[in-house]
Amino acid sequence: MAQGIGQWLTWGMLALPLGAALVIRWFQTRWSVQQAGWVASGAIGMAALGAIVLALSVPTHGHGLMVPLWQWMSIGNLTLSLGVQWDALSLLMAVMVTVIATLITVYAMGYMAHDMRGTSFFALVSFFVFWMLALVSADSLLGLFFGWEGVGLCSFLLIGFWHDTPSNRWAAIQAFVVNRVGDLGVWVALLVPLALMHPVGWGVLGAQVATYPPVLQVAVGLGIILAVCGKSAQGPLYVWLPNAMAGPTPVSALIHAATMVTAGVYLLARTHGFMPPSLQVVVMGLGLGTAFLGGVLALGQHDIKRVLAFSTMSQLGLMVMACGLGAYHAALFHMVTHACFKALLFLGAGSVIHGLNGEQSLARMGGLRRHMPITWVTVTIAVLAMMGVPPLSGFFSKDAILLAAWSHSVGLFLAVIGVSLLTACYMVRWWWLTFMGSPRYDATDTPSHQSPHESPTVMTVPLMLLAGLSVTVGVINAPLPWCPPLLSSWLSPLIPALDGHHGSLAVMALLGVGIASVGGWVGWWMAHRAPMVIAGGEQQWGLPWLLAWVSAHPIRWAGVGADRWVDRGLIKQSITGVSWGIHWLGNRVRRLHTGQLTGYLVMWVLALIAVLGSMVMAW
Amino acid sequence: MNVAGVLVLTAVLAAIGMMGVLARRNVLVMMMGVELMLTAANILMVAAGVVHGLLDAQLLVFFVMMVAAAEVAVGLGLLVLLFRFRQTISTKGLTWLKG
Repeated sequence: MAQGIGQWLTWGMLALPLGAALVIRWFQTRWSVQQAGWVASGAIGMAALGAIVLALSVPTHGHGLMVPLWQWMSIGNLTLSLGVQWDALSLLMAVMVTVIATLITVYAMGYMAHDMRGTSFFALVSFFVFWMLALVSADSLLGLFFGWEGVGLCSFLLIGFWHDTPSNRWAAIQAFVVNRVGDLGVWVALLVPLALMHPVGWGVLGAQVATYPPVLQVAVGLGIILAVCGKSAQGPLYVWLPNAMAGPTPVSALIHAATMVTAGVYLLARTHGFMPPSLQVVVMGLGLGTAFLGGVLALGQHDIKRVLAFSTMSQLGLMVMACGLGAYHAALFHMVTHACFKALLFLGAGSVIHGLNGEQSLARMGGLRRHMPITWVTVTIAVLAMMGVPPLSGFFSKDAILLAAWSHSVGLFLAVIGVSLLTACYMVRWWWLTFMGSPRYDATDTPSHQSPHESPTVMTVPLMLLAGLSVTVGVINAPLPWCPPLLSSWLSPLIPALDGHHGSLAVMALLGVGIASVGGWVGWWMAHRAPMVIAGGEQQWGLPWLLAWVSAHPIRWAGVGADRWVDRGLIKQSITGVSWGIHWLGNRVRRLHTGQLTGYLVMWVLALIAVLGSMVMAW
Repeated sequence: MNVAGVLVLTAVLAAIGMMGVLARRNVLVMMMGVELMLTAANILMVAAGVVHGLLDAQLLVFFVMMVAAAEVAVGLGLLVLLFRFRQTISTKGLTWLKG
């Protein structure tokens, strides 16, 4: 591809969503939700087309297509510049982000149709897509950092979109603050090379870090792990993700399931070269622990969206674990398939919420398959894909992670099977409580006294398209006999493949069906026998409370103490002390001002003597 | 020429003048003290001009005398005004400089 066309496409892909955001914001009060929605989906759709064209035409060997955008500053030998690097990894992310975002934006035209401030919603979504593209396409850690902060800001604004409710505002602030803790990690990973005056472009950063002393390597690695914890809701920093469900459902689908939260996995894949082996084990353990934790916590939820939030956390844990194993191809493959079926699950949940006029509790759903056939069928496909039923997409990607775990150890293999069982269990419970069984909602109880209704076409068409993707997207890396894994061969020049086992497809399919049936049966049993609102489940059995008491509260106490003793104590007292001292001195000096001529003359003469005397002494 | 004698004379004159300005309360006497100090400076300048053979220094004395005359003219005017206001020319209790 000609360099020039690539540059134009790059500028267009970045400028269109940003421009759409600004234009919608400008016409916010004059445009209807539909108009804003068409502009936003048009701009994001054009960016998606650009990403696909680039993905089909940019050669993946070498460093891909480099587009310098802006030279920021030059300090000595160090030049900081912002630019775009289109290689296999960034194009994979860009295509995934823009395609999913286009479908979700179209869906949101239906979902947000009755919202007073729907137009500004589309401005924010376009703004988010711009920052996400900036994040994935950046050619350096510095550029990534800008995108990283930008998507964090958009996430904050969209979680708190309905800011009339205090709990939504609280959730937005929590997400922002917890993400700031993670951002500190990027900051550390960025400042170590910059303090040594080394460039931070992806092409040179890995080789540069490899030459550092072990302490600095570990510092950079830990910084990246902390960043992943924040953005991808891993480890103790997961707490913000379930509360982020306060945002509108399309936002949950786009930002908190399909795209932004995968930025951590992207960062791990991008920095695959310079994570010391000791930290790779940490990454693996972190991912596995989070996968288990998310699965267990998902079982205790009764909010239709919070189940999916914990499921996202669990699946992200699997991806991070795969990164820790070095199986980056498997992690990225699972990220793509997960983006499709998890976006579909969230949009289906949104369709249910829309149809029930805002009801979110599984305890008051059930039997919806009769009223919402399209939602039911598409969500069922997503649930099956998520459970890893062959031949849907989730089967192939989970298969790849299972094989990577197998090549590490049998124990890890069994652990991943355990996570998969949990996945099947909470998904079937969720699916059954929503769509199957007998209705538990009270039509007269809903605000508008309507029976549940299927969503409009503008919402069901994205559902159907995503269902199609959830079924078929597995082919991009399926180990089919007649078709080599495309994604792997595409990524290989950039990220070396893990020399793992290649299991027999039939055995893996049997295993997948087995896991899905056993886990699914347990989930079905839970939906019938266990209470729908599980005691303590909504509070996650006190885990966030415990985390707050060991981290957030001591930090708050330190802040309160610093305010009391340092700010208002030391600093305020010393400043008022200086002021008081000057006041006292002034009162003393005032007495010299008598108005008596003789006194002034005496002082003048003394001063003259002092000046002349010192001059004579010096001479 | 007795340089030391001139120096001692001018120093004594200046000291007397300064004491007159500082120690006395009578404005008229204080102005006389100022004149004494100016005279001491003039004598010193003339002497220095003679020693170094410089006509400029002796010329400068005339300027100083002229300035002193002007100063006395202004000063005596102020003195008359002061007397009209206070019926005394003592600086005792005079704190107008305080503003």
